[in-house]
Amino acid sequence: MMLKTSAPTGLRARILLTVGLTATAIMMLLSWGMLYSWRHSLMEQERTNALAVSRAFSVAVIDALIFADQELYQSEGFLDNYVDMFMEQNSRLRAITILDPEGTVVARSWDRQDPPWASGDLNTLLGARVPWITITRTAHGPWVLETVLPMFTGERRWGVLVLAIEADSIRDQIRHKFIQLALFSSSVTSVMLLLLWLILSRILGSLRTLVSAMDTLDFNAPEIPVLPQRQDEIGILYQHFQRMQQRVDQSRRDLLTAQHQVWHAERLAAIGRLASGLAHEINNPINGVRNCIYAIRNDLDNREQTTEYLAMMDEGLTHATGVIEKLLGFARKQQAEQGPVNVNEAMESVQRLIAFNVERKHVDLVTDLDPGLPVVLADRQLLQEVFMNLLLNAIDAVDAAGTIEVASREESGDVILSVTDHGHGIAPEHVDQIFDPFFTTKKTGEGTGLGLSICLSIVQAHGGRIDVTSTPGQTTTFAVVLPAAPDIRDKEPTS
Amino acid sequence: MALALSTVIVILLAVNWIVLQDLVDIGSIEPLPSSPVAGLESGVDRPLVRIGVISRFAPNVIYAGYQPIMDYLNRHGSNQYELMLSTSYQDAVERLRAGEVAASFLGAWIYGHLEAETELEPLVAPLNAAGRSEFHAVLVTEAESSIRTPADLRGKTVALPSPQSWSGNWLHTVGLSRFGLTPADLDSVHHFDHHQTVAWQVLRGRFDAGVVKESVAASFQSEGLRELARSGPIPGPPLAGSRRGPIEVLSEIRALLLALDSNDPADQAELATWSPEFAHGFTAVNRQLYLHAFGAGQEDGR
Repeated sequence: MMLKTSAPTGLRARILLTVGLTATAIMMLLSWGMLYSWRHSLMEQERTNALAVSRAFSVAVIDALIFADQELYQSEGFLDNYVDMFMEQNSRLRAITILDPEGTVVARSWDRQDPPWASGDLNTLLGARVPWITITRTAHGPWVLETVLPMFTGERRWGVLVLAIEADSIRDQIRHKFIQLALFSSSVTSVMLLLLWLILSRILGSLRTLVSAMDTLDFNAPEIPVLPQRQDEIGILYQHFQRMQQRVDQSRRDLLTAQHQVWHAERLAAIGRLASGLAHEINNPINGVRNCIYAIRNDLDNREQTTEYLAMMDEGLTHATGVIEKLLGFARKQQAEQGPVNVNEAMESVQRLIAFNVERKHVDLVTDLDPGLPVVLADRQLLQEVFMNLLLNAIDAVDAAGTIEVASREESGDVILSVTDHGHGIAPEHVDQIFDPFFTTKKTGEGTGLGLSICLSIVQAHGGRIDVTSTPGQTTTFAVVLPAAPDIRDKEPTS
Repeated sequence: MALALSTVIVILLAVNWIVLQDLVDIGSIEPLPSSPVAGLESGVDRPLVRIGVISRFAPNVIYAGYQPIMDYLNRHGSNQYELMLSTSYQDAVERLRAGEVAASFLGAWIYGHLEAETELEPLVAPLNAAGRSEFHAVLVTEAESSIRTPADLRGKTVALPSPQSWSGNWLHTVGLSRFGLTPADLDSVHHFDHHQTVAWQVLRGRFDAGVVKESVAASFQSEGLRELARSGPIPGPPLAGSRRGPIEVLSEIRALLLALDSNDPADQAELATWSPEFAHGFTAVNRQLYLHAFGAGQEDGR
């Protein structure tokens, strides 16, 4: 298993998305706050400036109106000149209108019939006592900031000065600032996400190294691979993983040792179960030898008889020696070693070993082995132990002169060897427990309860399984299913 | 995942677009007042009474200083009072003589010199901070000027206000001799229409010194004018009416202005908005006061 880096639902993508969205939201809120605050200041400044311009212009206007009122000068055209000059000097001015107290336009910068002010009707303008400012969009499109300045000296009213100042530049400034902040926010967020991506890549790279080490962990290797040295939390994780690796390796070794001890003990137990048959098998030739010795001793001069009996004694002792050698061969603790194994041959070997038990109980052992069976990759010794257990269990299960069927076949790339006894079957409530360690239905002292558990662990260690089918009162079948080894089908099996 | 991400991006863009539209919608910031302020037209149907002012200041300065008096009279009197400016000191007298104005704020000097032939009656004159109706002409120079005493005026240029004002006459008639100088000792003398003009001419270095009325000298002290000397006290500039003028109107004006008490908090609030020259209220004056001050040879000792 490797960490995927491109999957959108990966850890990095999720962190980037979460942080990215959060950062974007925060930057947006901050930017909006700054923009609204800045716009407020800008509008205040524009209003103040507009009012200052109006007031400055009104000084000259009031003077001119005073001169006109007092007839101190010929004032015709005087204000119009003021208006024209002021318009020329202030590029943002769009219109100037000067009203006298009666509402008559005494000077203006515009030529159209309709007055350009958008602030209100004439009565509202004339009634104004304090300056006010409004920003509106004119009927023909552009935005204007309009100041309406009532001109007073004390309570003497000279009229109203209306200045229209273009306001599109204000909107442009706001728009420009918005884009600036948007770009800034995007840049900050992007840089932050890039840094985060780099940091995550480094962290995930370290995790991938760890996962790779976990994936390729091989306890059979002579040495545990060493992860890179780091001084951060990842380094601590590496150290913990390596300590765990060592503990697991030690535990596995302890377990294997215990397993081998258990297997050895179970093997000895199986030998014990064989002992009665073996004793009979050994005792028979020994008794024969004794009888022969007795007969020879009684008739020492009978050379013919002696020769015949010595031959019989030799045959009997040879038979006994063969039995003991078989027993020793089974009981000898061998180093586990895997190789191609012919299951039929392993079963036949076991059958020969327990032939005494079969004969003693007069069991009818029916064998149906498929001669074309492929080999399996296994430890022959361990497989024989499995078959031994199953056959001994079957012999125990059947009554005297009962029937046991042994069959083998290939099915879907698996090698299946089944042992069926026509005994009493297994109670349904016990079927799920029979592979549990120390579970046994035999009397105390007759079984350890470890046999089937060990059989299952051995078969599973070979990548196989044991299927059990039982009909209470009729039959029980244990089927050992092992994967065939097709690539070594033709190889010479181990014996 | 990609769909959700696309949706989020679309939502973000949409929200930003809405915010941008709201930001540039600047028209919603300043709502208009719903109704105009009422009461501006009160008094338009009352008899119009014009009050003249001699041209001692520029028109806008005169309005700034004298219009509050008109406002006060309009609020408390039965007539509609309006200022009428004049182009010169003499013009103000002529308008009063011709009946174009019911009364006129005149200078003390011109009133003292024209009273006998015009039969003008002084109604009131402003009080100073000491509660007396008197004022001074003040010789000023620029604060950093090398002129430290009036005697330093020898060979210097001098700016003066109207020759029909006390400030425009004091230096020649009284001041120079007091300082041990004669007109010939001065480099040049030039008369301007307004007191403020004199002050600005001195401040801008176009003239070495000048003479203005003391209220102007005080107001320009912060601008950099330094007092060198001042005249003796002169009766305050009177608000005068023609003896042939409307008696009721003149009585109303006189009564209303004399009713102001600078010690009364309510009147203090009213006077605070007026020109500093009128900030201490008014007092009644008579022509003997001015005749005594400006009779033949009287000013020589001031």
